[in-house]
Amino acid sequence: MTDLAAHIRELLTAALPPGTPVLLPEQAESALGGRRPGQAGGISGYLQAHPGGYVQIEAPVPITSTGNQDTYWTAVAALAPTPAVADALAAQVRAALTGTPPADPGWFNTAIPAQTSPLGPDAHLTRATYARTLLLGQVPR
Amino acid sequence: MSFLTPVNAATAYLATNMVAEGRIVLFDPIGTFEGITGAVNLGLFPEDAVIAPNAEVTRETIRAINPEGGASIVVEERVTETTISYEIPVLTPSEQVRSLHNGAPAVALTDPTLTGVSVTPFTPGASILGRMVVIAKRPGADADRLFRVFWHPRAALQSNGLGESQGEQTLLFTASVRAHTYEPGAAFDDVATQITQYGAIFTVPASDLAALLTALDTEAAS
Repeated sequence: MTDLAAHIRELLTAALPPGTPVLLPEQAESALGGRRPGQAGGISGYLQAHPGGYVQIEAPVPITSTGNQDTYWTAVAALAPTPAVADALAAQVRAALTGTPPADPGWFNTAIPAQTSPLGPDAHLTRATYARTLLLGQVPR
Repeated sequence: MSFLTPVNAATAYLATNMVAEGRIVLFDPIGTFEGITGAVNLGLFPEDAVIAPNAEVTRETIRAINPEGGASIVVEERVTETTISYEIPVLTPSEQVRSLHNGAPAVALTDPTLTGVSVTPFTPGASILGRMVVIAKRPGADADRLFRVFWHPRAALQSNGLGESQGEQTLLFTASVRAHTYEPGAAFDDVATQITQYGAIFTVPASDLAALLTALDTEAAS
């Protein structure tokens, strides 16, 4: 379901402030990668370079199928130097994916609401899980 | 185009068709109502709420002797009674929606020691007459995607007690659609026959929604 992750990335890059990195599941390592001499490494270093935070899309997980309707859950994490920035970024992610149901719905439903957890003194993560039911596994655009 | 090649042959199985419509309910009381000028957005509904016109139609069959012999045949099914209503649970009632839930128009007190106080007659079963618009949006970024707009020139909004969703209180309303004959404005002149006493259902591109709502503003306003 790489197409579903790509679809989420399209929605998020259109809605989030320009320059906010939205990483696909396979790009998770790029934020954790090594450092250049004189720079902080790992996630702290990446967040120093992106103080507005970044979004990590995790691999979609298949949940159920009724034969033609397949439900996938996809965790989307917002990472930022402070919990407040991470929460604000996660709220923007939620608005982009789910809209304001049921008045103005989006493509996704919230399956598990956001949880904020610290990864370190200067790295905080807010992670929520979004559900999307696909017809015959196709991602509509 | 025929049964062999239906008009929607290319689109009938599209995954994009499997999408939920949203619901926004707007209600504009006809009479004077303290605290409400113009339309009120009723707010958000619980995720599992079904906001749709529920039509109960009573039919009477008219039969005739079958000229070919055998059992008598049905010549017509005449509609003798129609009831159209919405059941609306409101999860986020604003002040205006709470005063609508009181069931009758509110009037402000003029006594200087009682400023800010308004009063509604306690009349169980009373209803508020108004104009009602229900907007069904679909997600997406395409400006040409189609929304539906249900238009009722008159609906009676009634309090139907309290409900519950995920442990949170909801205000329950029943809106029964009333028949009302009016002269459609210039924008709807050529489609006047499409708009019945109970209203109409408009299909509108997303980019034209604002224009349609503006045009409906002056329809059946008094």
